Amino acid sequence: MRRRRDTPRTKGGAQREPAAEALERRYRRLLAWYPAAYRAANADDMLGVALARSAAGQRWPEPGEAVNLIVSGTGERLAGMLRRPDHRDTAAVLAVAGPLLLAAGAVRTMANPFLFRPAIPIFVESQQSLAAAAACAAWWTLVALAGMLCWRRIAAAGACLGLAGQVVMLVLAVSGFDVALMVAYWQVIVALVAAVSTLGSLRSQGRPLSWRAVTALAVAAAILAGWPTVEVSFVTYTPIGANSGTISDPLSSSEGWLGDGLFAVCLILMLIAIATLRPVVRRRATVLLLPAFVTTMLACWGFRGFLPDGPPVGLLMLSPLKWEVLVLVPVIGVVAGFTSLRLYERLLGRRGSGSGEQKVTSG
Amino acid sequence: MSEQPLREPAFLVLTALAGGPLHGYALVEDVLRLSDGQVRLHTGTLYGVLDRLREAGLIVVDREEIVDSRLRRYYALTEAGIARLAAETERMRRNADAAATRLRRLRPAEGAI
Repeated sequence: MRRRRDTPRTKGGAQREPAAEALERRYRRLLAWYPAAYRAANADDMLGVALARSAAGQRWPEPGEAVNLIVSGTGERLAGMLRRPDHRDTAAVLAVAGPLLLAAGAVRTMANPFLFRPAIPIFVESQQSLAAAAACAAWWTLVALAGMLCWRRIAAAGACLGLAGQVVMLVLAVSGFDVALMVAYWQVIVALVAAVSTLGSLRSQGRPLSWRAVTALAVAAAILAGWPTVEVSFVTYTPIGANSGTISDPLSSSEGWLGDGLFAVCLILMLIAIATLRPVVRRRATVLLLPAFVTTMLACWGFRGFLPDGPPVGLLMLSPLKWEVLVLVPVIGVVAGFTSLRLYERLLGRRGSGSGEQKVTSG
Repeated sequence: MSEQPLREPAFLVLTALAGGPLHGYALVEDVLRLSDGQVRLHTGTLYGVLDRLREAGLIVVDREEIVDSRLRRYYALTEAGIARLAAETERMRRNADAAATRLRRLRPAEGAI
């Protein structure tokens, strides 16, 4: 909250605010980290405590006190979000969809032509990646199942452990092992969303998705995971010498439009699953899906793709600008999406209360 | 399922309120005194603790005053809060007794602690 005051001026013309006022203004700014409703109830009382703790003539909050208010305020905001049933239910949906997507991605990695054909001499080392992908696929499938069956603590523990595993894979990728960096990057992001969602849905009531919605999601995941397996079954390798050979891929000419078409089918199936949700949860799921979709498009058509359709993508393959875009697009997308959603729901609330008033008047 | 043990700040806040209703800053000062200067609650931490204790029904807002045109809210223990503090004190006493017994066995020459 900003307040204008008439303050004395120094000889140089600069405004000199009294210490107590400066300190209060700075504390009020720190209290802005708390949600508005919380501030309305507690800010004055908290301000009194914070000011009473400070020394005479102090103009700035102590660093420890400032950090404590920022951390506590942010925590209160997050806790406030998760206290709302619609947010908890959205988290419960993500707690199933996120692990399912990760499982599909891991199966897809296993079906990568270069991993699937370790007889090709230059890609023999990929056996390790094959085992890691198989472990990931099994793990995330179990986490998705636990989320669907409402075993929320098991799902949360599994998702947190899974996130730790994905971080290790990202570190290995950065260290130069043969795991594609982009794959490891998006897997960590999705695993982070899954872990936060499973934790946020701990107090959610009831099954997050109908079985019809889960079927639609599972079919989408199967298409994502299965298409490379079908594609790779057509790939043949003919050795010419000891360390050389030719790779024949008859679907290579049509794989572009086929892949895009199947991706579109997956998107439609996800929209069908979202359509079965309650309106408030549906809106939140859509707001989260849109940035994910835009980022995926960006990655597939602008950054060589998330999935390892070729040799590993090194750290230096992406310019700093591309990295910034890749990080900023989803973050800005989610923030803008939720801001728009908040405005939209406020408008809906006003309309609802407006129509209610009309009814009362006419009655 | 048994209740989770109280964390130190929550235990100290309840102990401070056992002396009578207190406002926020008085709580900070009393907790500092009770803990021999070891626990100085930050404002954010204090209100996090107060919120949790209020949600659990262990404390309530006793009254509100305006002092120097600023709101001052007093907190007080509820019956549930008194019972919880008594139970927690008993649990800690048992733990402390057990530790003292073991230590006496470990160092008999030094006598009782």
